[in-house]
Amino acid sequence: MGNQPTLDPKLTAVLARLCKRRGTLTKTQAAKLPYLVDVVAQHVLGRRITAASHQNWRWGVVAAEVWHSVKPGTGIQPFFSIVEMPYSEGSVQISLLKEPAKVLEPEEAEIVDFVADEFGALDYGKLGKLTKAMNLEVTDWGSNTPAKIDEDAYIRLMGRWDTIFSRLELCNTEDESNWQELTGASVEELRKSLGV
Amino acid sequence: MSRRIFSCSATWKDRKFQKDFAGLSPQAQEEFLRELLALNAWLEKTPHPATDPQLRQAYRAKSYKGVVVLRSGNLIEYSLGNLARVIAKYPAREGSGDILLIAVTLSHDHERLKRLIKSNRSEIDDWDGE
Repeated sequence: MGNQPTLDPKLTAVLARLCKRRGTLTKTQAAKLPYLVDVVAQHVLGRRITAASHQNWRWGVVAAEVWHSVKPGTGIQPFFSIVEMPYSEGSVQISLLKEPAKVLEPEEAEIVDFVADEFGALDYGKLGKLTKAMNLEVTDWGSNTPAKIDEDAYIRLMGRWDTIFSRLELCNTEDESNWQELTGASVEELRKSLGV
Repeated sequence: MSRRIFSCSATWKDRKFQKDFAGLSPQAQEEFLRELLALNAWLEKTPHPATDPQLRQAYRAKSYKGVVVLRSGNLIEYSLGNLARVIAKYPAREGSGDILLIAVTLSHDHERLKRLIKSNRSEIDDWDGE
């Protein structure tokens, strides 16, 4: 008891690079973007970069260690400024104070930069939907079950299945005026239906 | 049994898919469309689009509940090779045997990742099986 949560050096380095690339991160971004980093790394390098516990929490996948560490006065303070935003319902912003030891290989750093550039602007709601769309198999959101870090997760991430599901939620799939019949379709009819 | 196949207009015609499709060679485009057509034909005849063992094996069909709030039915995911996925809703409407195709996605490796993948190719699984 009483021990501060600690982050492994790679996870600290990933967070530092994300902060450097984005300027500041919200607590949600700090807890969810490392998951995307590890999914992309698993595809590209065949291995994860961090040893984070990516878990299926109520609002999407969260690196539990990061969530527990990002508190003013605790955990990852030596390297990061952790500031509670006033009048913002407890929102916390994280920025880089000093760089931790350089432990990322060049290819790892490139993956972190890619995730920062492609997904770093997504807010907490979009990151929640994105990480949930990557884990379709999960039925018990709000648990500490491990999130998927495999090709399924990668394909759903890069295919932005969250945006498909967002549009699906706005659409009444029961309304047959939204349907187009493809029974016995030819290649040309298929092309036309897809607009290609 | 013959099942009717429909697509959902609001989600089926998708700009990201169109962009990804345009990135394929003409030959790969034709091959992809033929595979999609074959899935379509299979879905028309299968006893069940989620539980048919042959379909599950051929397209790695998997059924999901809970991710998207649907008034009825489940989402089913089909794999066309390792790069393309088809998302469908079954049944299309309550009490019917029809199926509604929701979306098709193609997964390209981003240009920024291709070089990394190439340099690490010896270390990673040959995930597209080619």
